[in-house]
Amino acid sequence: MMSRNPRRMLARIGELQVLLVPPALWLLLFFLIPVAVILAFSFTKTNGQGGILLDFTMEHFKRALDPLYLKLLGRSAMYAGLSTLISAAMALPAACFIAFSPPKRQKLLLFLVFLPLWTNLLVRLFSFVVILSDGGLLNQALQTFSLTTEPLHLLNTPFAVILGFIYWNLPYMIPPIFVSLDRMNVSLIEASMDLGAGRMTTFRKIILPQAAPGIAAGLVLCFIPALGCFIIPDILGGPDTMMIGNLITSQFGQGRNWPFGSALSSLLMLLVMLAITLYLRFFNPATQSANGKR
Amino acid sequence: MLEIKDVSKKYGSAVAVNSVSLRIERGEFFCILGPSGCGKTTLLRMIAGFERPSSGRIRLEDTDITDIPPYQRDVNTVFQNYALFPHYSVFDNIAYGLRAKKCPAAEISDRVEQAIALVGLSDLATRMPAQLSGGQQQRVALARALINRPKLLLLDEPLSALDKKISEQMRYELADLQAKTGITFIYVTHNQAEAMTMAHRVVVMNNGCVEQCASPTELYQRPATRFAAEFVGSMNFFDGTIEPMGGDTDTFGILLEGQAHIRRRGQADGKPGRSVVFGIRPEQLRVSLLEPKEYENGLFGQITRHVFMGDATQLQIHLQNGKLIEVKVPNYLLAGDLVMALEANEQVWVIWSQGSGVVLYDV
Repeated sequence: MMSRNPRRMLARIGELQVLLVPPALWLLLFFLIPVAVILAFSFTKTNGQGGILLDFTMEHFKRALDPLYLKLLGRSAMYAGLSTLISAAMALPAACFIAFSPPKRQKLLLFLVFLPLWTNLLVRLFSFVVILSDGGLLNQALQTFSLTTEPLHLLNTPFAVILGFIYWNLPYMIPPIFVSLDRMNVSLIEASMDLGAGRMTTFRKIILPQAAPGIAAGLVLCFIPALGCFIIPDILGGPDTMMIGNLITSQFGQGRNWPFGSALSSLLMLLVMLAITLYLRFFNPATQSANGKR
Repeated sequence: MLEIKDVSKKYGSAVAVNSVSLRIERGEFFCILGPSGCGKTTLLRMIAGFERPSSGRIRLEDTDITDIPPYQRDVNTVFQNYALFPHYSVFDNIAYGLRAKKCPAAEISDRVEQAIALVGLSDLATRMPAQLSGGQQQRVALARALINRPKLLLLDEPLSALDKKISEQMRYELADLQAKTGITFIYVTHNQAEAMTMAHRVVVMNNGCVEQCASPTELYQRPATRFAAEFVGSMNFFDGTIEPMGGDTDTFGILLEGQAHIRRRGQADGKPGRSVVFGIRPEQLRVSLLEPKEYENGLFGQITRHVFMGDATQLQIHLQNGKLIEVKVPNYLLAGDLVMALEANEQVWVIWSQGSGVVLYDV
């Protein structure tokens, strides 16, 4: 029990605040300062040789709002959004199955969910290349069984990019949904069926609301990294699947235009923050889970 | 009304319910009583439809419901942990069953109001379950089940999570509710006091089997098995043998533990020489310094322990033949702080009438 003496309580809180020093320092040094630098860069001019001139300008933001780049942003949001939604749709039944499994099988299945994370993403993406390419495993299989005559062109298409995102997302989507379902009392499902609700109604009115905080967390965990991702479109995509992440990378790389890259990054960050604010406003996982406890 | 016929449930090689047959009448408050792991909850879950029997049939009125899913049975359940939907208000919880059956909205709100009033929660309709006390949650669970006017209401240890006082008060409320609604209740519990106070009939289960099915009085007065006798109240047991007929035809003799001869009113249900168990409850015995009368039975022993229990004193008596028995003496006989002024180690007669106790033949 905490002491009731207010002065001593304050002292305790003071002591506890010491624990916040390392992460606070860390975030200041490696997050806040770099973000501030990027933000500052986005208002400076280029010197034409990859460096910057300390002169205030808005030209990079104006350029970023060019339809060409907005289209890129729209495409990124589309790929990230679509793949996140498909991942959620795939993860929900899987999470249900894991949550309603006996403890031993539960452990094994969760282990399998996390297993892909043991290998480097780059390596795993190249295995997708091996599978999806014109002469790849999938096309060989399809032709062997005479399902297709010509090889299907799968690699370097939006399909491959979205597939890659789904694959990347699943280990981040299943666990939060699993956690919220695992916390759920199984007799709620029995109670619903007992009261005359069939399987679909029970899923819609009991399981889905109970899974909602997990789904919400999963959507955020998957959508945001996918939005700014550049590796997956780089390896699995083609010229038509360029995403905002690729553009930003190229500005810091071959483009040698740090200020423009910074402006794009800032804009993306702003959009993400806006999205999260709206999302918390209308679909707050914290209030959901307050009622979601047993 | 409900007929359970030869129902068994096996999980692998473990038998949870072993060939149980029961018949429950319309409007009955029926109790399934037994220790944990006796199969009572499994039996209830098979009636509700959450489990399918390995063999046997269950009929509700004229329909075989063995293979019907829970949501198509005219049966509702009050769960042990209430299983209220945490994301719905009290009102929405109670309305759930009617909404699932697509009742018109006006009828739903009327019936929910009635159900909420029936369990005395009218002010709490908009609360969430997490904002209710245990007793209130219990009432919501009851209202949620009763509003569907089921043919059968199943209750799975509904009072076990409540404080003693509230749970005792709820016993009477449940009994009243059952009488008022006329719905057949099947109530599962491990608490014999709950079964005795509420039920019209009680079935005692042990190891997946039925030990006895009888009214509470019958069960207490004439337990059919040693398990039933011990589970409901407590009982002293003696191994015995039926003695050859004497001249007296109103009573017969039993030889207890090969030493003491006692007389028992009535006719023996077996030939002389047959092994029986004689059982007698602690409160059916009295202690005395005087020898028993000729129409009484008595055994001589020494008091080895006094246990003061408030309303009565439990005496442990070491009989001459070495056996320990319990005697419960009402505390209106207290003299000073000792029952009948009896000291520890005092030698006394333990006496009972020839009509008391039970003779168990299937041992």
